Amino acid sequence: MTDAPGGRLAELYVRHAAEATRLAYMLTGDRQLAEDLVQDAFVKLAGRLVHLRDPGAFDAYLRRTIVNLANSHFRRKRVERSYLSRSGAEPPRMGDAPDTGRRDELWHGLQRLPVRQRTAIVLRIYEDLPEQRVADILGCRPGTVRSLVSRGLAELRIHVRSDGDG
Amino acid sequence: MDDDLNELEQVLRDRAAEVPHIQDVPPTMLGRARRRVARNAVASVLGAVLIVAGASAGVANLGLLHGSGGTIPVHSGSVAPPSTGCAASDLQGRVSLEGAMGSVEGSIDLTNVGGATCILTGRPAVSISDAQGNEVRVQVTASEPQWKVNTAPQPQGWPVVSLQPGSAASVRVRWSNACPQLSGPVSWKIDLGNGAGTLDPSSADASFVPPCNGPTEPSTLEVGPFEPSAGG
Repeated sequence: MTDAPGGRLAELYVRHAAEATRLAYMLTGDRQLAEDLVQDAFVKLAGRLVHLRDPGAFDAYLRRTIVNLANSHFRRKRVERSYLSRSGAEPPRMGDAPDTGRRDELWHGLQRLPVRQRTAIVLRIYEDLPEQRVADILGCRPGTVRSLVSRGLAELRIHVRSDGDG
Repeated sequence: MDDDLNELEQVLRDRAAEVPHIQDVPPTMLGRARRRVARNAVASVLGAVLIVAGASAGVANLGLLHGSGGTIPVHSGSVAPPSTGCAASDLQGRVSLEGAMGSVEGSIDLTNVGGATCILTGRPAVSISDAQGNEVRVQVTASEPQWKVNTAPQPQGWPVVSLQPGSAASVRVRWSNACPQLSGPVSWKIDLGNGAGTLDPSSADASFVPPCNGPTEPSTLEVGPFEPSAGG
């Protein structure tokens, strides 16, 4: 076998892994999980490198793969939580870190949003992608993206307010 | 409302800054990638064998149906392009950019403001100057057109782009790692090649510059070939 995945993948990894990890971190709120997801994404894309001659196309695929992997992760977590609640065990909650200020409240509030709302907010606000691109990634219409962002921000305000009150 | 958004954006930027630049490639990931590529290769070979077997059966059936082994005529749908190349004076340029994973990317759109249809082919030379007018040092690489990135069908006639008066062509650009960090607005220049001249496209996104993520790494500028503009 040639060193195609080794050489080219390593080059792409060094070039894109940090930004990809930042995106995965925004989506998951967990640095270690973000790094694992990014490695999984690169492994997944390694098999398709022969079809990706354009380095510029790679990050669009990478972004979409990370979003999909994060969604799958949270789907698995939902199943796990549902099983644990049926078996009487207390599931671990995400975003239980102690809040030390309004910015931490915003961060933890973001992590408590439904995954599609959080993804739409991160892609629109952090990645600064236009609605159409976010819609392509989420597989929905631009109007749905607007609604996900708007509802997510409204919920986030409620989270932050109630955390601040409590 | 805007304050909330700005604050949330700042929270995200602060959290993103916790992730350092990555220099080392995890060996375990490369091992997993190699195994995956090997598995895909085996699957492709098996798939090809099945396709060839299926095609052979199909050809055999055609022979039985038509009673002869004649060749199937191939119709060429190519259209002869007009022969006049676009000159810079025929075109009006505009740069549109957006942020993307630590880069800025977008397109330079060129609208035919002349009175006749003209053509663009190949890949232009693109350069960027800082607010003081000094050319920014970038490592230019060739990238694929947007239609390929989007896995859209190949536009008719491409790689020749025929521009009727009022219609536009587009060049995909992506700029990464501007170091040291540029602060002021930048200006873009596009050289059409073949002596057709240069344009200074206008831009509402002149202040869009990528972050300096790797001070020791070169700044890169990926430039695609001419293609029909998605907007027409």
